Amino acid sequence: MHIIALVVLIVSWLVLILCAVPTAVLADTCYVRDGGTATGSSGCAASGGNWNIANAYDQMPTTIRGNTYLVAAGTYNGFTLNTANSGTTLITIKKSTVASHGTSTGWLDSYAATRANFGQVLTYTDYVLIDGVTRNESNWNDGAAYGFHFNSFRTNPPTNVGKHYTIQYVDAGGTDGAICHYLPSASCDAGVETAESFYITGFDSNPATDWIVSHFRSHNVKLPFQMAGAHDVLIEYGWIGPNWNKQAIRGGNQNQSYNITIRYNKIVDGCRGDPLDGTARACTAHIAIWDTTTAGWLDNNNIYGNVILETHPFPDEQTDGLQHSNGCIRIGGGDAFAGVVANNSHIYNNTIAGQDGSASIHDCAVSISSAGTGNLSANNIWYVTGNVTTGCGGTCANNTAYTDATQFVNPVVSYPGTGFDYHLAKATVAGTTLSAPYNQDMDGVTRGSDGTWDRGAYEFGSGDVMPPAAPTGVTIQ
Amino acid sequence: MSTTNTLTWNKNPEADVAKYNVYRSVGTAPTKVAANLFASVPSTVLTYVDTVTADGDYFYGLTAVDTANNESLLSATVHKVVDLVPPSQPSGLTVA
Repeated sequence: MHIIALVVLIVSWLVLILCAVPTAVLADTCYVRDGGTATGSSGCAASGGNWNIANAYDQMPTTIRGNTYLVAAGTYNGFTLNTANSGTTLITIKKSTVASHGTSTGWLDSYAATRANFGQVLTYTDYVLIDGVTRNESNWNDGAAYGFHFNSFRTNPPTNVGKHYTIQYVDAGGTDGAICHYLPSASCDAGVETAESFYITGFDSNPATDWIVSHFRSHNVKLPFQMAGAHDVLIEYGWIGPNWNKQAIRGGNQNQSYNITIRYNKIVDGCRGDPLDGTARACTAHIAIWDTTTAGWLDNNNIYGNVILETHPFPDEQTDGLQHSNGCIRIGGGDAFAGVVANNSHIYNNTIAGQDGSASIHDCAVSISSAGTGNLSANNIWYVTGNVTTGCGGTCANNTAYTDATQFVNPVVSYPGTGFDYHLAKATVAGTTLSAPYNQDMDGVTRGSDGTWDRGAYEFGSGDVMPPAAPTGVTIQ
Repeated sequence: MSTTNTLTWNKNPEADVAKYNVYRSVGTAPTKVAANLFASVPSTVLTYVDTVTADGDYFYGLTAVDTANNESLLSATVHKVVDLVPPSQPSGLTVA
């Protein structure tokens, strides 16, 4: 063989072999540190990025698909996520931790010691993961323990509507301790730049879809969740409150809200009424999904395993006298609610407690469109201490109101509600046995394993019913 | 072609942990549902190697399961982008 032909053949083989070697990760890791001075691509590892001042970004840079942005403790501006989609390739923004912080060059463990605080995030593009990584699982209301704080997340329909978001381990909202009573304040609504923690809103043919908001805290804003024009949304393991609006979680609202799951949340003073709405300012329902005119747009919604607590007397209600008028949880139109009926929706195993005993109307029932099909509200319980209307509308089974404080471990109802514990101190009367995924409570305890399916958010059981803690320190290479 | 995603985690503090469940989904973070349950390993094993043969953004989360079959909440999730497809051949190559 001619020597040149032989060389060409060998080179061709080498090229083929190199092409066959799998490429595990092409994505880059980028570093964001308060005070960094990196510009262009120099804050990313492939261009020499690391935790040193000169090699890290001071703020979130323009994001690149596939990259992971590790963020150190500090204070940062809000930012806009508008990088064009590339298939399903993610943008990942993650709090750095001692266990997982990319390169060790320039790293100090103090970068993981406290929160990274951002302003508002405009969620205009798709496929994004925002992960604060940590929180205090013993106290979901411990705002400082969350890896990230954001003032809010916000779409901008009809055009800039993000899809496929996973947001976890984040604190979102205004200033802790601010009383957003009657008059708006810069300390509320996250500095008045928005009125929601999570504005997951789309419009007609461009809905916000496939959002997971998990292990979060929403507080000191007007409305924690607005989901008008959203579907396929999961809201779980969150602390919601205190907040001031006529709902804590709003869906429907003249657009689509279907395939929404709201589970395992603690809503504590999450619906204190709208301070700007005069005599109509009362909370209408903590979770309200109604008021749209297209059939099917309120279907397949599931609300289960949540604790809803209102403490009293809350400061803005001592002389108010205006309370709920439409129940605590409502799905679908009809029955005097605006909009089409909901179908195939469920309200299961929620615990509702502590509503005020004022003489005015205070309806904290649960209900789903009575004219719909496949709906059921079952196994919900109330702890009633005052003049409260409880009960169930639509198709119902095995819902119970308790007045016996010994039913619960520590049924605190007085403001600020510190230390409340609505785990069961004894079994309830038997509830309706349900299939997965409704067969676990928010602690992961399997329902009915002792022969009795308890009502309420928490399953009671003797013996070893408590699951282990969630594994920690998970890494991937 | 294939590549591996190697997970590691800390040992749970409880004495009665029997196994760890690995939940996996592609493209989005997994939830703790049967459809996402991907593998289980004994409690003595603190690593799991997943051999993948297709492109995707692979997400994983873990739970601990005790001897009474109580399952923990899902851990914080991790993910890794896998790209097994090489770029196309360069074109327009010339020599002068």
